[in-house]
Amino acid sequence: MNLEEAVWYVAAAYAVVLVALLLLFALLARRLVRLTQRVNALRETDQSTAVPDGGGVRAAVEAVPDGGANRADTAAGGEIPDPGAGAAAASAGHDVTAGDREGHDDRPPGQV
Amino acid sequence: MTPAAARSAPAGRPVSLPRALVSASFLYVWAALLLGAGVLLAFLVTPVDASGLGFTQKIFYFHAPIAETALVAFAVAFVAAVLRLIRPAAPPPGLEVAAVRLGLFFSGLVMITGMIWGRAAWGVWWAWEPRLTTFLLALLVYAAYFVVRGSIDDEQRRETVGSVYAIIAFVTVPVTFFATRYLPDGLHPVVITASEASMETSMALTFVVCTLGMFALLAAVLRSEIALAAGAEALDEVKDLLEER
Amino acid sequence: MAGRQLLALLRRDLLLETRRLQTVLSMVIFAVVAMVVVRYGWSGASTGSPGGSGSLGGPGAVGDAGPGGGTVPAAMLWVIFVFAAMLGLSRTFAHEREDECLDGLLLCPVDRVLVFCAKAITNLALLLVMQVVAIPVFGLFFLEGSAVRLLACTPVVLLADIGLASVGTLVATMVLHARSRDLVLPVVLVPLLVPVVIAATSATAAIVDRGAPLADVLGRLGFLAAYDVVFLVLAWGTYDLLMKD
Repeated sequence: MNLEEAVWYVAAAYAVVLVALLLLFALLARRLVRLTQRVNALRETDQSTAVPDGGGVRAAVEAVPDGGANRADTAAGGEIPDPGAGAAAASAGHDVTAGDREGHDDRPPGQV
Repeated sequence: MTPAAARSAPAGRPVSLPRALVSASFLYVWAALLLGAGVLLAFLVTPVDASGLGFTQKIFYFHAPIAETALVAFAVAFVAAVLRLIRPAAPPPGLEVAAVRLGLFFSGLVMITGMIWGRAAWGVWWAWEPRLTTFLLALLVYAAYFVVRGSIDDEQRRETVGSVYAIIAFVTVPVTFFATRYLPDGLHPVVITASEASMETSMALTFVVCTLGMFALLAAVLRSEIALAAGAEALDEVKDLLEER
Repeated sequence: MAGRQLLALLRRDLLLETRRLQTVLSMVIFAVVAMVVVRYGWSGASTGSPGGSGSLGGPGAVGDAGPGGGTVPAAMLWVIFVFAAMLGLSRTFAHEREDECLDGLLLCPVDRVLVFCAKAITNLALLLVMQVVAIPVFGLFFLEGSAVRLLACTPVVLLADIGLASVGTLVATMVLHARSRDLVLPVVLVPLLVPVVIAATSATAAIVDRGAPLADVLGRLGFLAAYDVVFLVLAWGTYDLLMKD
């Protein structure tokens, strides 16, 4: 095998490695972008529920794309809050959203 | 994911994505520097191989480190699997899967570069010599890892069975390597001069540099994968919390 | 105490298999038919006409030219054994699934490892019965004159069978709850069995083809034994987790 042929083979091998690495990074970047999109979608949902409407929250949240094949069950079994609880939910939702805007996140998640 | 988004995440689940990415990029820089230096060394400094392989021997400087990195990746998966079975909270979620995936990726690269090298050095695209066969089998066994995981619906069971399989799969690799030494002779004459003990200093240096570079790359990608998995998990939790509201 | 429990479980499994000889008969029939197919396919390919000259056609005896000399019939034998084994292994938990007895089995106050032992021994028994029929048939079809040497292969066959049965039962348990189980079992099992096939094939070929004494194949026997031990230990360590509710 003369030198020129050998150079082609070696170049081919290194090129394959380079292309494969670029593909790997591209895939990683794509996953990062998708993650960011999900976060943004969720943030929009969160902020758009300043006037809470039980059915609306649920529908909006469920419209956010899910995490992919690993989630075996996505249905949270809760009931849509009835209108009687709407008032309480209204004030609480308002509080949480306002707190969000200020960047305070020390409110325990279970507080409604 | 912007720092602002990270800050306004709900309490009790800090998203570590920004911090993790920083340390991962540190590793990426290292990997780029080392690999770049390795390539330069390989083509500018090291002499052309004196034995029969000639210029094609230069493939070795990537081929062998990639092979080692693949095995290290599988070993990481093994350790993560063992940890998960012994202390379920210990290993970062997604590490095992990411390690197997990367091991498969590097194994595939070993096969391709190995075949190119084989064509250049021996004139054939394939030979039943121990290393190629071992990696082919590792590829098949670890590919089946994803088949196993994909076929189980229950999350808990999927993790457990996956971990057990990762352990079994790792045992197979050295086992197969020793088995292929018993293949009947005369199938193919095989000579791999890659692991000569007496490598010239510059060659040894280049080899070490490339190896370290590949290891750094593996570590960097694993860090990113862990961060991504953590981010996705945090997101799912947030989504659950919101749905419950 | 554990011995009695094991015997009880074993009796149950063996009883199930002998009540309707469905599994073992299928394995035997498959093995014999596969050998017929291979034999005809061979003579058809090498002489250009099925049946060729003489009884069952031209070459096909061990020691004849084939790509790789005398190892090819031995390889055929072990490949057929692996596939016949898969037929039996896929039925390992069939009774528990079809008649919904799995919960009953899990409720038994026995160490889960004993369940593994009972199932593995049952599978081993099925394999041995199949081979008692298939090996003489193999000698009849493929070996002319050197068939007696097959008796010398007994240790090889035994050790390889233990490996087949233990790994097979382990994998069958892993895919117990999997969807598309029939698809996943072969894909996962066959790569794991490659070391066994390699060692068994080369040992069988050495004994049958070259009349090598047992001392020559001690290395391969040792390898098979080590493989068996490794996977039995793995099964013992992880079976509890696999059989969890």
